[in-house]
Amino acid sequence: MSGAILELDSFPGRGPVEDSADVVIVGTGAGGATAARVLAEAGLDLILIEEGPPVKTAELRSDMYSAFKSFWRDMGFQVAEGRAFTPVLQGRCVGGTTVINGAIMHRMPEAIHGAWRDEFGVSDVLTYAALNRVYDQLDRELHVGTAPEPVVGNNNALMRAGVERLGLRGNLIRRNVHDCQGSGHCNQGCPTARKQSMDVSYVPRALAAGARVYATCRADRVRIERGRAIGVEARFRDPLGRREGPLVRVHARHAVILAASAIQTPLLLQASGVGKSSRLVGRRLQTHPGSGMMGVFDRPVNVWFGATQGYETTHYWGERMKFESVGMPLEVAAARLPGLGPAALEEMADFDRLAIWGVQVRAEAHGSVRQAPFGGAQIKFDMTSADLERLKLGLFRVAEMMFAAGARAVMPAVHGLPDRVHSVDEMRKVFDVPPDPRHFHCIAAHLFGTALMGRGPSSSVVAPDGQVHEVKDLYVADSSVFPTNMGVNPQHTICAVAWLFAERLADRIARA
Amino acid sequence: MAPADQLAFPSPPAGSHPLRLLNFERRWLFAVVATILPGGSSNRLPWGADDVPLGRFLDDLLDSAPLKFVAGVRACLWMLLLCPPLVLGRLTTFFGLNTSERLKLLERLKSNRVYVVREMPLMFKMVACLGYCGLPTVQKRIGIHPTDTTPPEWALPESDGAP
Repeated sequence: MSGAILELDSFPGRGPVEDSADVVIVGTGAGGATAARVLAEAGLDLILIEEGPPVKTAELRSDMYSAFKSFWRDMGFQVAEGRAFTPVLQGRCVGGTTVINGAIMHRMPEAIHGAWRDEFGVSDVLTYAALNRVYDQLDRELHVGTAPEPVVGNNNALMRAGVERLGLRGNLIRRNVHDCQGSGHCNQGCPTARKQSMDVSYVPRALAAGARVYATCRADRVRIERGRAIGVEARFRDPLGRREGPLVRVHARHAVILAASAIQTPLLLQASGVGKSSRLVGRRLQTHPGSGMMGVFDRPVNVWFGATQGYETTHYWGERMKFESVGMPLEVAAARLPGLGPAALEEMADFDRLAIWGVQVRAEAHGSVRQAPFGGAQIKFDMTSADLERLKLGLFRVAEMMFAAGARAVMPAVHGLPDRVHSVDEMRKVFDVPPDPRHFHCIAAHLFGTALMGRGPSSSVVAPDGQVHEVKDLYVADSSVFPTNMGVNPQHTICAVAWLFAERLADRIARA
Repeated sequence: MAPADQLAFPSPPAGSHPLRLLNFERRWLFAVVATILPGGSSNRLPWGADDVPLGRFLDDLLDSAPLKFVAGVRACLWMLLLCPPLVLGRLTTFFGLNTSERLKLLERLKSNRVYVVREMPLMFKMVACLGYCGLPTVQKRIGIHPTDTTPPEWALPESDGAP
């Protein structure tokens, strides 16, 4: 039996589309696709609902704007509002953010699991041993490994040199890429389909087992009857919102799983009237705010060749910060260069000499998500003073690494500092910058906690097996349930958590 | 200058839905972008916004981007238009300034102490670079070998052969 991907144009009529399955999953990213892989191969009939379009590798363009327009939520313009605007990066396509991320696979640090176990009581299903068993299997199935040396690329190699010269602990990043070709296009969608994003790995496996994917179809609410989730109401929509198709009513015989991300899942829960007892749906948004820095080198770096994000140091993880190389595409990096007019063009012409690395902070701040008055998400997030002090220290350390690697200058992009800083001593001025987010340029790429997992309905939204406390047969399987941020990239753990929830659900259904 | 078949055809923005900027606002935006990326000013990257079909890019962007973003662009355009008296002490609009004065104004705004003011030039530059730097011709000139040399959809020559 083989499934199919159905899109807006698959249904020319206006009448509602009715369908049913054992389990309905909303979202095809790391959480949804992994749950689908487990459930479909357990013999269950599945429907996956995905707001974005399918990705067709042969039709991928290499420019960033085409990718933004096709596969990024809000064309990459989604921001969190606070004292400053913080871009919130998410994919919106079959495969979700896994299509446009850096393919980084990091296991959850044991200390974080300890905190989840002791403070939130999540160890029933998510034991560290169970997580490690699934991590191992994910590693095998998604070809997790480091980039082969010929495609490490100079941007990553220089960071390795800087880290080693400072005597820090660092490593090549483990990524879910099979035989990486070093195209440096992870953020545009892998042009060679070597990245094992969900669109080329677990979604096809679910399809092969008979699952149906409704793409370009946005879930509007979960249908709940007598305290039990019985399906999802959705509508086909052109990804740019120009055209609407028919209403879709899917019936779930056993369960509905929400895996639409830490932004969209709470919006769906709110729209479905869920979460009234804890009042925590959409609250406690946590992120890893990150900021990049460019270093000017005397020899070509050619940041566009090699693993997009190939090297990291977790040396300072205990201080709530992690450092990575970031192979930013020209279109994005050029906007961050300081010059305007003729200077802008001269700086772009020197793009081959730039290395780009960044720091991500395990922020203490909590934000929120709710429906915006005219549709979409209203995301609020503001870093605390302590987070900003860490960011300053992190930026200083990136500069230290860059100078250790031989940079002639660094461009910190911090208001109050010169456009170009020429020494570590000069970079110390960053400590005089006020701890105000408006002085920095950050992005938020990892999102957590908006449908918190925990022991009881008064202090959490979701039980440790992924089931929503208030609604029977309604599950959440994405990073919304994570009680805290982790200080490392969450893709691996989102997959692992979704896997374990799905295993338990499949067991439950089999027993029933 | 690159041959026309490499750069497709330069064109001013054509305009579309009024909520997504009026035609004259689109032309203002084009003029701001052309100030940020002036043609003929660099030997190594000789093309400016006027030499590539950036007008068509702006049309495409403004027609596709979320309304909230387009509203932000509109607000920034009007602020930029009216700010010369406050920033340069000159009783004129942005378009009453010559090219070097426009650039000076943008530089001043970039280091302004008010956050939203200094983000303004960055936003315009982001828009400009998103289109301009995605062109295979520009990337090749810098040394990048794009995985796919087909120009973005907005830069493809129009089917009617214009101009």
